[in-house]
Amino acid sequence: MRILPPKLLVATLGLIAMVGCSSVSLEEPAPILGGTASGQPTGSSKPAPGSSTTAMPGAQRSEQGIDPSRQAGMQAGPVPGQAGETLLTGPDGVSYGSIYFAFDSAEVGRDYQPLLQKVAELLKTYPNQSLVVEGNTDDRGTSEYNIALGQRRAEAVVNALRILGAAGSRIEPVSNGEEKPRDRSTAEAARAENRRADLFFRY
Amino acid sequence: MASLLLRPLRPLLLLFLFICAASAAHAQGLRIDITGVGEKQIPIAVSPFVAKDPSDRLLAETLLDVVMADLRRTGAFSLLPVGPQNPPLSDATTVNTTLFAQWRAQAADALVMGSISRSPDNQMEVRFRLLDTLRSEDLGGLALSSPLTMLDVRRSGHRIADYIYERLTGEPGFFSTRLAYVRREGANHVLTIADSDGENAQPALRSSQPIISLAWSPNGQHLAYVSFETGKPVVYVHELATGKRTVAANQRGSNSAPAWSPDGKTLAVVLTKDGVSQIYTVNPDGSNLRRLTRSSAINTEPSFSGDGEFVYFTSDQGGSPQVYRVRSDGSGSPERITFTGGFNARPVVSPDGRQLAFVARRDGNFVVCIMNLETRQEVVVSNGPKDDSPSFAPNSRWVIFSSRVGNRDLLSAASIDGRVRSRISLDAAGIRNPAWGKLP
Repeated sequence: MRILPPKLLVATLGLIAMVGCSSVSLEEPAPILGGTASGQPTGSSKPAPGSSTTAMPGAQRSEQGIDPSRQAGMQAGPVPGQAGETLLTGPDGVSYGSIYFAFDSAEVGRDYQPLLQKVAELLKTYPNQSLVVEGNTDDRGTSEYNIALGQRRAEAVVNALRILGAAGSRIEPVSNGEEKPRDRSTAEAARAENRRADLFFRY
Repeated sequence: MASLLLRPLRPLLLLFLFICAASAAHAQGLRIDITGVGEKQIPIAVSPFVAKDPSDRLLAETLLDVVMADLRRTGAFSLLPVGPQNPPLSDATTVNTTLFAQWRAQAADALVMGSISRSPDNQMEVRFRLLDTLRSEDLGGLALSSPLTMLDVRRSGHRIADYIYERLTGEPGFFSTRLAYVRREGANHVLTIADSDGENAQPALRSSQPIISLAWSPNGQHLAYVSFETGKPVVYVHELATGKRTVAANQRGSNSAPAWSPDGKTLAVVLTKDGVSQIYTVNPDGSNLRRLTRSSAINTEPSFSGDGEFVYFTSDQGGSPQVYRVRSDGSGSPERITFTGGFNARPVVSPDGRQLAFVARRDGNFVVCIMNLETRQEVVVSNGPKDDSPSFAPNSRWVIFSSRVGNRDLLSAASIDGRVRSRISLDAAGIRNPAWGKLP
């Protein structure tokens, strides 16, 4: 069994105070000041591991920022599993495993049964552990349609895990579409590499 | 603010011919190349703006540059050289038959003449007059007052170009609008708002994660978009003046493809919380979520019709991605709109409701098509091989879209008849996901 060392990744939200250079003339709309997220909803809205998003707020924006300590607190501390150990996905970009797809297909090949069985077992062994399945596509088509195609791939993986007895409620299928290619070239090998679903353990 | 000094006149109609236009304009690292085939061009003489205070000469030159670059970019004008005049032409020049005849003799169908001066309170005053020399008619002009800055002189230039464009072509101008796009800066994605010529670019959001699917609200005060900053696609609404961001959709799974209803009260979004990608409607603050489409196939990329009655979208319910439309109240069954080829997606309805832009695969290339919604006639307006994210200018006569050439992402624009095409590139990293803003 592959147990990765615990690694706490705290994404920080930096708030850069920028002096707004506002010059309004004629009937032009107000200048762009940018902003930062407010009113975080329910659901997984913490920043992705290793991600950083910085708004370009105006100077008067400081009272609207996210409380960074609250954000960090959402991710602090490893969550022990049943066996007293913690199973974590490695640094951003390192998945537990990947499943590749044919062009325009969301069919999970038989070759991936051993990987899926292992993942289903891990989810049973570690009930506090959840899994995110990220679907990806190559760059053919439109960016939004590819979000839907990537989602279909992720759903197919989740269905395969459910059949193996994993609790679907702890698995979230999401899609990157064509937005996070591993290989940006348009060669066929690069496209095949990008038609993929990645499995990330989260807690 | 701007006082009109004009008499009404019926617009001239453009006749289209095939004339090549090639020119380039530089702006803050943005490069705009007109590469397409031009229309019949209106020969126009824009005389240098007279600087009443000699220290404003640079502003006067900038003003002229902005006006000329705007007009040139449309492919609808040929700009005649104007040598030094004695006395110099300005808005104060007497308009008489001699003046019309003089410029008609120089093959100019229209003449622009103006000045830049300072008011006692140190405001900048820009005045100009537009003459139809062909018909010996004074088409009026504007007096524009603003602070004395380079940014404001550029804005006055766009206003002048809008006026000229509208008077001479009969179509509303679009130079005073803004563009939103996402620029790659190393590993970062920067949501940027710029003037229509790429100047005055300001970052609104910088993220290490992708930002896609930008959509301006009808009043031009908000941008909806999809950001991956939380590790998955989530729909945000960003109020540009205050910088406040609101999560409009963050359900289990993916949240994407925001589109505004014409009244700005509703967003169509695509969610996967119930399984396959389906279209929902939601208030911009995230409340009042309702499911619009019910299918076991992918339904995505919604766009409201001009009257808000229909939502156009992409679905693979027939086996390949095609454009359909459904009533926005959810009644009735979807009607298929596209039938040519095996891939037609990303529909977007023009602001006047008469055209539909979409991305089609033709001969292996992904190109932008325009369909006249009345006649259902289609025109291919781009070359591919990988064009995406079409967005209409507010006058519905132009589309801007993403183009990938090799590994480079740049923006392209085309007239809806496909005859004039231009390319907007950044020197360094790529730009994608354009959204053309509203008229101010």
